[in-house]
Amino acid sequence: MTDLHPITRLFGEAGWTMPPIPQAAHLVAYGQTLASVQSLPGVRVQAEASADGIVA
Amino acid sequence: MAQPIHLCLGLFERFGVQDIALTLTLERGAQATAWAHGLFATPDAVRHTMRAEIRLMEEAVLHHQETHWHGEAGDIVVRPRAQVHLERGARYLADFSLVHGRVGQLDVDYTVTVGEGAVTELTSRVYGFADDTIRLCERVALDGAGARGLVKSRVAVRDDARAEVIGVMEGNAAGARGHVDCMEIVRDRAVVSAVPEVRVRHPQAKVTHESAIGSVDGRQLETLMARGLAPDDAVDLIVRGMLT
Repeated sequence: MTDLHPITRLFGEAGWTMPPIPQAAHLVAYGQTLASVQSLPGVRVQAEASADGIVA
Repeated sequence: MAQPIHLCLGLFERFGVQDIALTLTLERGAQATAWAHGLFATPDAVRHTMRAEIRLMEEAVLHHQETHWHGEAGDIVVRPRAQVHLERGARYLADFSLVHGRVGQLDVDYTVTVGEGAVTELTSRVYGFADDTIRLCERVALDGAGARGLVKSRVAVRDDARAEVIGVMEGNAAGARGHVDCMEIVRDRAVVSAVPEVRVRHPQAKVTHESAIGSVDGRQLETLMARGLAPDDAVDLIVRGMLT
């Protein structure tokens, strides 16, 4: 469940530099769909997606 | 936590909905930076809502930077809601920015309760144009002794955009200090209202506010034009400077 290509494209369209998301604790979502969730030592990221939205 | 935590929320379709319910807790003494990115490229009919519950335990520190980009279409509704609770000695420093692309309809509503010796600073920067509508409502309750709070808004609007900026600061305990600082630039047919609201419920608390709404500063404009900038470019530079 990791798809960072769309967010990479969105950062480019905005003219922004893509931050180092893959190496960081993160939550990435497109609409009501979770694209990527990552925890790291010291940071716990939990998320669930449903038709009603994302709970994290 | 040396690396920022990233929260990237986007839509690349023209139509869609995104509803986020977020609970964020920093444990005692923890320090973190959270970068939230709202990226909505081509909204024809898009709604993004956020309901956040943020809790910082004793002495925890959170730098929260939220930046949006909405493309140029403008048919987007963004409704962030946050309830933030700061325990003793915690620090919550938040910066919200929407200065690139259209705003659409923005409705921000944050409430922060600040415990003993805790500190919060809320900064908002928004640039609206066309028929954008902006509502910023930020409330800070300085409930603990020695609590500190700052609500700072920087809003620029032009064309037919509308903005309402509400900053509420309550001094509810001994030694609490709070300040509301609103600065808005209005051009064309746009309209802004700023409502700084201060309440003090303890004789040893002190809360202040300042508010400035108007067009760009004439002296700054003349200076930039004297250095060769066209009037529109000079105005844009002044506005961008305020929003930086």
